[in-house]
Amino acid sequence: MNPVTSQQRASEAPVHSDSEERHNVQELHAPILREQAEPRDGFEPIPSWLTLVFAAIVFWGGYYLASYNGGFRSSVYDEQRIGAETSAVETAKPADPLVLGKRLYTANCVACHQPGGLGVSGQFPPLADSEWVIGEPAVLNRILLQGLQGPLSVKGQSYNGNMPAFSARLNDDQLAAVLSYIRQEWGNAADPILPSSVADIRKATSQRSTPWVAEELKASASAPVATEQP
Amino acid sequence: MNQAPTIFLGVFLTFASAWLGLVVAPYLQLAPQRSENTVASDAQDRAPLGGLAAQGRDVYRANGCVYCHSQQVRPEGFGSDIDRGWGPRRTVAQDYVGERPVLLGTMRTGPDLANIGARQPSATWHHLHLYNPRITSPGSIMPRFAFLYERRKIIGQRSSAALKLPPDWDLEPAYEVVPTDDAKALVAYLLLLDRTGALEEAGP
Amino acid sequence: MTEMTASAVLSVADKQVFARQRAAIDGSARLPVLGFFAGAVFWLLAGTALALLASIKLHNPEFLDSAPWLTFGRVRPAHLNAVAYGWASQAGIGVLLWLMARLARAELRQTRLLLLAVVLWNVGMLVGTTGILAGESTSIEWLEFPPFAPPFFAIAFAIIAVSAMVTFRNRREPHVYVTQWYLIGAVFWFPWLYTAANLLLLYTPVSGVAQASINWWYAHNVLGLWLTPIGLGAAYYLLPKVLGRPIYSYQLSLLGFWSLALFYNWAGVHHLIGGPLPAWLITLSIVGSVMMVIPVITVAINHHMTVVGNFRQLRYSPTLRFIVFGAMSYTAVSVQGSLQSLRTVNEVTHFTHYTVAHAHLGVYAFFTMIMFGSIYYIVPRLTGWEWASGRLISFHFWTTALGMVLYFLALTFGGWWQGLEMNNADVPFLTIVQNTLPYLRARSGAGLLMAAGHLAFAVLFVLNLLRFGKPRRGPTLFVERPKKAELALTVEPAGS
Repeated sequence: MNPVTSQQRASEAPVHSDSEERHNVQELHAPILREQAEPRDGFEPIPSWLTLVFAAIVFWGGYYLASYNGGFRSSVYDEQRIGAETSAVETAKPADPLVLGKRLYTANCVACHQPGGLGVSGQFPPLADSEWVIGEPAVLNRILLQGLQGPLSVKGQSYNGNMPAFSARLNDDQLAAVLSYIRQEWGNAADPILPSSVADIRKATSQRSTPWVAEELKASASAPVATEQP
Repeated sequence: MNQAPTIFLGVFLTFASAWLGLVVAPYLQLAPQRSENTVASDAQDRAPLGGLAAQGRDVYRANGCVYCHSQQVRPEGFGSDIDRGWGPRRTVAQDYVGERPVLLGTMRTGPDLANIGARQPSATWHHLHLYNPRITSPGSIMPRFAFLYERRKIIGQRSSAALKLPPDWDLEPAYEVVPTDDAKALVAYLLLLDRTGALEEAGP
Repeated sequence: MTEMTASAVLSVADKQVFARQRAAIDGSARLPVLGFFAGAVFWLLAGTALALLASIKLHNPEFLDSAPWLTFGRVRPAHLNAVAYGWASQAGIGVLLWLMARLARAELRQTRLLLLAVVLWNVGMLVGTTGILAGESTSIEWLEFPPFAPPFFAIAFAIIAVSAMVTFRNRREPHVYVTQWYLIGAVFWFPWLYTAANLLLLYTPVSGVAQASINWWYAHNVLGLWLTPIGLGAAYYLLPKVLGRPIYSYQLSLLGFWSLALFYNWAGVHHLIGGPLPAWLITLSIVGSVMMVIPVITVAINHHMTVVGNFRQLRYSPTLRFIVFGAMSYTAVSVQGSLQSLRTVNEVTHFTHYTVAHAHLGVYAFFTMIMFGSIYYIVPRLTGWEWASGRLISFHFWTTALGMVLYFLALTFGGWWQGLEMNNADVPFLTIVQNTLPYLRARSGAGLLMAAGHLAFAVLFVLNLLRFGKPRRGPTLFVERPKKAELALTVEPAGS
C-alpha cells in the first residue's frame, strides 16, 4: 500500500457500497465526529520476568509431554503417574466386610431393593425383616448365585419378579460381605456369612444355570452351611 | 506484521498442526477395527447393533440421554467409577468400535451407563424407571418418559406387556400402561450396554 | 498515510477526511451488520427462554415433561445451539464485518450477498433448532443440528468469509492492526473446523472413539478459534478506541496472537480426560491447555496496561464497562481452564456442574459481555441514533453481571462438591443429586436475572432501530459525565 497524500485523499469521493443504499453522510457524522482516531500500537517491551515465566511453562510442558506420552501408542491408556500413585497409595480395601458389604449393596442392589431395604411395593421385595434374608444361609446364597424368579411371598405380600444372578459378577468374598451386611442392617439380626460357605454352595450348585423358584429353595433349606459362631 | 502472507501462512500452519494431531492421527490410529496390541480374551466381539436395539439407540440419541448420562468408565484410582460398580475395568477404544455416534457423554447428572445392561438386567426395572424415575429411584431428577408409553383403557384382558405399577403410582383399574415400540427398543438397547469383558489394554 | 498515529499529529483536515471515510464505511456496513445483530438479538431471547426451561427442569423434573419436544434432553441442546450459533456467532459476525471494514478503511464488499447470508443463517437456525426439538438431534455436542441444517451455515459463511477477505484485500490502511490478525484467523479457522467436523461426524462419520477426539477438537475450537478471536479483537479495538490511548505493547500483541494460534488448537481433548482414548492424545491436550496461560497472561497485561489509570471511565461508558468485564472474565476463565485440565483437578470437576459454570464464564461472562459492549458502540454509528436510556443500559449491565456472578458461584461450588462426593463410593448417587438441588435452584434465579437483562437489551435495540424518542446530543452514558476540566484527561473525553 503506497502512502496517500492528503490531497489525493480529499479528492477521493466516498465509494458507494454495492447495495446502492443512499445514505446521508451528514447524518452519520455525529457519533463519528466525536470518535477518537483509530487505535494505534504502543511499543513497550515484553517484561523480562514474563519471558522467564513463559520459559518455565514451556519447560514444564516439554517435561510433561515427555513423561506421560505412553510411547504414542494406541494401546497405552494409563500414563505412568496415575499407575505409580495408585500402587503407592493404594486405596486399601476396607478390612471390615460390613463396610465392603454396604458399598457393594449401594452399587448393586439399591436400584431395586432401595437404600432403606424396603424394596418397591409389588415389584421388588423388601429385605428389612424379610424371612428370606434372616433365614437359612443356604437359601440366601442360592438366591444371589443363580437368581430367583417366579411367584414369591415375602412378609405375606406376593411378588413375581426376576432377580438376576450374581455368581459371575461377585466373588465369594464380595458375596459374603454383602450378605452379611443385609443380614444385620435395618433391624435384621442374623449371623454373618463366611466366604467359605459361599464357596461351598457355589461348588454344590455349579451345574445350575437357571434361576431358582421359591419351592426349590425351600427344599434346599435343610442343607447345613457354615456360619460364624456367636 | 503488515505482510498479509505471513499472517495467512502462520494461521494455516498453526491450525494444521493440531488438525494433524487431534483429527488425522487419532483417526489413523483408532479407526481400524482392532488395535494392534489387543489380545481379546473373553472380550465380547462388538457386533454392530441390529434391529430393535439399533432403533433403541436412536431413541437414546433423539431424546438427548447423553446430556445427563456418560458411557465411559474411568480407570481404577481416578475417580470412583469402579468402586461404584459402574464397571469391573476402565473402558477403552475397543469398547466403542462401530458406534455412530459414540455416546461417551460429558455430564453425570445421572449415573454412568457404560455397563447398565450388566448391572441392571431387568427389563421391568427399566420400563418402570423410564415411565417415572421416581418409582424406582426416589429423589431422582430424571424427567419422565411417559410419552414413550401408552395409557389406554383395558379391552378384554390386561396386555401381557402392561407395566405392573406399584399401588401408589397405579392408574385407575380400567386403565393400563403399555410400552410403545420406542420404549421397548430403548430398553433393548440399554440391556445390551455391557463392556465388562476383559481386554488387555484396559490394564490390570 | 495511516490513521493509526497519535491524534495530535493528525491535522483537522485529515481528521475530517477520515471521519467522512468512516461514515461511508459505516453506511456500507449498515444493513448487513444490523441484520446480523437483529438475528443475534432474536436468538438471544429464544436461547434464554430455552435456558430457563432447561434449568427449571433440572430441579423440577416434572415441569412441562409430557411433550416429547420439551424433554430436557432436547431443550438443553436446543439452548446451546441457539446461543452459540444464533446469538454469539451472529453478534460476532456483525462485529467482525464492521471491524474489518473500519480497520481496512475500506467499504464492506458484497453487501447484497451478505444480506442473503443473514437470511440463510437464520433460516438454518430455525430449521436446526426445531429439528432438535423434533427429535432429530445428532447428540454430538456443539453439532446437534441435523444434517439438513449445516448447508445453510456453510453457504452463509462462505459469503461472509469472502466479503471479509475482499474488504481486507482492498484496504486503504497500510498498517494491519492486531484486531485484524485475530479476525483473519477466525474467518479462516471456522470454515475448516465446521466443514471437517460435519463431514467426519455427520455426513461420512468415522467409526468409534476417533469421533470423540474430532468432536472435541471441533467444539473447543469453536470457542477458542472462532468466538475468542472475535472477542479479543473487539477488545483490542474498542478499549484503545474509546479511551484514546495506544495499546500498551505491539510485542505483547504479537506474542499473544501467535501463542494463542499455536496452543489453543491442541486443547480440545481435555474434555475426555479419563476417557477411552490413548494416553498420548490426552497428554497433548493437557499440555496445550496449560500452555494457554502464556497468551492469556500476555493479553491480560496488554489490556490492563492500556486501561490502567482510566478505570474511572467505566463509570460512564457502557462500551468500556461491558468490555472490561468481558476482558477480565477472559483471563479468569482461561486460567481456570488451564487448571481444570490438570488430571488431579479434572478428577473432581469432570462430569459435574462445575464444568457448566466454566463454560458460561467463557461464552457469557467473556464473549457475550464483550458483544454487548461492542453492539452498544457500533449500532449508533450505523443508525445515526443514540441509545434511548442510560438507565436501561445500566439495568441491563447489573442484571447480567450479577446474574452471571451468582450463576458462576452457585454451580462452581455446587459442582465441586458434587465431584468430591461422586469420587466417594460410599455416598449413594441419589444423595449427591439431592445435594445439588439448592445450587440448581440458585442457577435458575441467576437465569431469571440474566433474562431480564436480555429483555432490556432487546428493547433498547428495537427502540434504536425505530429511532424512538428525542434526538440526543452526545453518547448515551450510564450517568452524566462531569465537565472536561475535572477529569484531567490528556486527550479528548472518551466517546461511548
